[in-house]
Amino acid sequence: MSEHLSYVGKRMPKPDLAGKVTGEAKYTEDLVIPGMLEGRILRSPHAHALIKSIDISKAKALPGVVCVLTHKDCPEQKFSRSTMAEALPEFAFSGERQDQYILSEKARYVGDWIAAVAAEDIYAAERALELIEVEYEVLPAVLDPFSAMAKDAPKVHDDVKANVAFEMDHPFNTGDVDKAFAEADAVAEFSGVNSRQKHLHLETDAAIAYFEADSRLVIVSPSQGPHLAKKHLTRRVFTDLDDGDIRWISPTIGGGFGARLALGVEPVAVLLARASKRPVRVTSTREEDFSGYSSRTDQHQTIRVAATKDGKLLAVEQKIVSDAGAYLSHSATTSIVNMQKTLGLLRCDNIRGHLTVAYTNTPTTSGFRGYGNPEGAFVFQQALDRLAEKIGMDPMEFRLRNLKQVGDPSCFVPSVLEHTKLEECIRLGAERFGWSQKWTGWGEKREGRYRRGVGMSILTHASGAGGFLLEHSSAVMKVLSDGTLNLIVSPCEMGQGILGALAQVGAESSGLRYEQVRVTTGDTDVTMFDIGSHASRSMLVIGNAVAAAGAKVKDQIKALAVAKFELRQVSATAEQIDVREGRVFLTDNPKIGFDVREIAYDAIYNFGAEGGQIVATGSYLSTSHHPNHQAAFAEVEVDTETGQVTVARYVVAHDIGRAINPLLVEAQLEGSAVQGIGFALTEDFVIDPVSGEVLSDSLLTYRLPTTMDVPDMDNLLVEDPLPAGPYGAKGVGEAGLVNPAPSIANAVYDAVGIRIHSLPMSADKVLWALRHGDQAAKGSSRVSGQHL
Amino acid sequence: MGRVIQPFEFVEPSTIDEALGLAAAEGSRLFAGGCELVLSMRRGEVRYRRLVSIMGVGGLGGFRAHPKHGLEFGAQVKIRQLANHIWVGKRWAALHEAIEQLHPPHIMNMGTVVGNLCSAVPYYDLPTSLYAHRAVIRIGDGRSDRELPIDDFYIGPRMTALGRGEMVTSIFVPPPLADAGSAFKKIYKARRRSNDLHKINAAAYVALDADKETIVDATLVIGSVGAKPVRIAKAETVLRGQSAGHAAYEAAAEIAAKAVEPMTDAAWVEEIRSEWIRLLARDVLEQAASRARSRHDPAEDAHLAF
Repeated sequence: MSEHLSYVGKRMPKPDLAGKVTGEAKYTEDLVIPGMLEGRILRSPHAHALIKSIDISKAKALPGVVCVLTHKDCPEQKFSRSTMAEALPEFAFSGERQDQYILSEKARYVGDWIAAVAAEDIYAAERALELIEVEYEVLPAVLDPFSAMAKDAPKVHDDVKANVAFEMDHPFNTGDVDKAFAEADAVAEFSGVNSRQKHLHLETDAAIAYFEADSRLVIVSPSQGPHLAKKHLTRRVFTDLDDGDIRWISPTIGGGFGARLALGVEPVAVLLARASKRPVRVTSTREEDFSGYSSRTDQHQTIRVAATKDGKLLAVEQKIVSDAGAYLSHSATTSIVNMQKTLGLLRCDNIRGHLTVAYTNTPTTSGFRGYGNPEGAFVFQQALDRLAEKIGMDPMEFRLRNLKQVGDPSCFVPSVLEHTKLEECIRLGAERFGWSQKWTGWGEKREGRYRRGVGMSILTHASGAGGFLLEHSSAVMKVLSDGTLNLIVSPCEMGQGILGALAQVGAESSGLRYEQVRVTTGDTDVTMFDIGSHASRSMLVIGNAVAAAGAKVKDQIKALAVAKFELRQVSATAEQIDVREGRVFLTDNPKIGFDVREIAYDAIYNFGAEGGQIVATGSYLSTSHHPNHQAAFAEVEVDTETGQVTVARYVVAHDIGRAINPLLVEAQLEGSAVQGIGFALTEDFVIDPVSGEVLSDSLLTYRLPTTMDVPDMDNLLVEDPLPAGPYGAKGVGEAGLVNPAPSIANAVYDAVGIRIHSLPMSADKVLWALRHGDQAAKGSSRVSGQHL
Repeated sequence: MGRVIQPFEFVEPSTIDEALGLAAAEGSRLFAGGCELVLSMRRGEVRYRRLVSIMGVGGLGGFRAHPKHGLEFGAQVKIRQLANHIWVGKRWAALHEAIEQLHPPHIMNMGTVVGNLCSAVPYYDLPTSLYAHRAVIRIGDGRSDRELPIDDFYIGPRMTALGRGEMVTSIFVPPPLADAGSAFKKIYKARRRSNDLHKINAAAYVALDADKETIVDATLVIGSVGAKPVRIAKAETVLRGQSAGHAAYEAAAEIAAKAVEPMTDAAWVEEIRSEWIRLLARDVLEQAASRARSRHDPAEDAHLAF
């Protein structure tokens, strides 16, 4: 049967477009609950301090203030901001440390939450913060993971030895790594550390909590996974509540990028709502977001690689020391995923990884788009280039010789790689980029102030974490009397366009009109269980659930159509009928048919007859992580006088399976590449090495790339349908952020012969390395005992 | 750490006297565009009970630019107005370049040049460029006026020489010499220490003799390296009388790099800072001189001035 697709693969406008463009979309800050109080949080001015006493009497006496809470008013059990543990089987991640209270009993970073206020208006709440008198005993602070793990270092958490929050060997270590290194023709090493990239979602952290008349708790917040957040909140924070006691609503979300996978101010809102018996909204400012919310985890890494002289990769060894910040949150899981993606990218028989996560007196880090993969790629792809240089091989050729093929273990070893088009990506990208002309070999000396260079990088990333996380999802569909499809799905629309893509799948699979798909999402009372929008999973996992529901809807329409055709004197069985774009017709004579509205209307308004509304559910369980792949090529220009690096050209080829909506796929690739270029070059999260304060605490000092920084960019889609994907689709949400840093770093090396060991590759670091030559460039990170 | 701005009284008087009177009260102050004010209030650095807008005061909106008479603008003149004026671009290029590189563009539409100057933010660009043009600040108290060279306007971090009951009413920028040019450049950097700033800027003014071979006058200013822009007087002296060429600019730039005080205790940060100062100084001098050479007699198109 030749495939006919009405909507899939087409560039359709997103259903949430109008609200976003006109400003009508309602975010948590826009909602008004009658009687709602405004809540604010008092944050610590010290990086590390004991709280000797807190006097809230003056704050409480301020007119308009309803309640002031401190750690004494919090539930006694500790929890982790990360909700991820709830999506993992107990045995797989018993190590996720539950290590904080809602309001802290000790200040562990500048910005740590000390007290919370609810007042009639936000001004009173703000003034009350200043009236809370906290007596601190300032303690010496540890601000980097290495001094944190040193002997006699101050302890961030009293019950944690040497500030080691988490430690593990890579679960998929294999082969004899030492022997492979000893016997290899060439060995290369690269050490480096990524920066704490900020998510910088436009909407800062906010949450509303209130109780309905029947004392049921409602939480409204921009969560990326409200079902999982609810589970976590009831299991770890408010253990007197259970699944049915909470209704969690994620309204329009002003960006997520992984930050909303952790609990934000929701527990504080609940705490205040309980104490005041009023609805409470807790908000935070952009400055607070910078100092206290979350960021990517900085992972100090040393990667050693070995190969034969003809370019067969023999061994990879990765050591990671991650800086969790004051609380663990996602820092351990992102580091584990780093090992998975880094050590599992290429075919290699001997791999070894080791991970240590340390507590420091710095803001808590978290999961960020790419979730460990960009952190690893920055170091690994440079190590690979160093190795290719040692054996004198074109770095593209070196990678091509070591790609995993279908049937090899995937990066998540227990599952087999079922589908990869990485080789096609590399070849297609190289052709568009002109790699064979632009790559002129190792050690080419360039002259002049402005020097150009090229570099590349490849990646594998998950489309959900089937086999690892609780990867199932369900969708509900009901058909309204005019043929409108009400699609009820779980993912949260953070701007990524997933609702549009799912609407396309819904319309395609059910045979109804895309223009008449109304998507309902975000409310845990309405949507089915789902672990949220992350890990590039929504398209594959939820998309399959939608396709399954759509097929059922179509079957129901067909079954009901038999009688309709009979009324028209046409005899047809359900198998001879098809539904497309809202029209029911005979497969062998498409001219004979009618609008689906006739069936949809009669299904509901069927006085005296049996029947009921057309409604269906679809479920899907993903058992593999179905990796998507990408190759990227960058051309940079280095100003050797100032150290400024400019990306001149950036070409990406992505193994997408099938693009449900190429427009959205390209937008995801473009958006993440720009975020990746910021990660690579300008986004510098700086913590004062003395006070522990965040110095880059505004968009003035933390420089996001703007449209003016976007290079000449091509996004190529390699489409070969993944059998397990909905219409063949794989995920794409995160991958684009992985390749920019390593490909730009490799291009900088090609241009000027230096390697920068820490992100971002800001102009001052580049210039310093240019002036100090090998002395700087050869440096190693402190993971292997040396300073950067 | 961020703060929610508390409610405040907003008044928009119509005379200077009235404005200064209202602003004299405890917890009050004058403001124009409010761009910096909002940021400082949000950061909790300042708080006011009453904000007195000068945007309704009569007589502060004047703006004229003439190649022979100079550039003059009142306290209400928006940055955008200067950006759009042909003579500003032609004769006060350093100021124009500083304006053109402001972003986001909304700042230009909301902010005034005088407000930008008066906020005395160490890393702002317009003060540096106006140092190069040797601007004169006109200060009024409702009864009398006084003038102050911009060099004397800043007396410390976020502090100006404005006395109590005084405000800047306008700025006068003298016309450049016939064969003169100016330039402005900046470079963004990471803020590495608490007393570090996130960029460095520089501006220069170079006047040549009629043969366009000898430097007759020069101003070199480095900004965002401390509490206020720094005039590199020694470099200016050295440049005067020299033949206009790379060697002169390189030498002046070396002097600038050495003249600026370090801001942090981190050697590597300071090494890069002084190198960038050298590059910026050299580049603005080169650029200013190149403009001086390519310039033609302003009298030829003086008719375009108004």
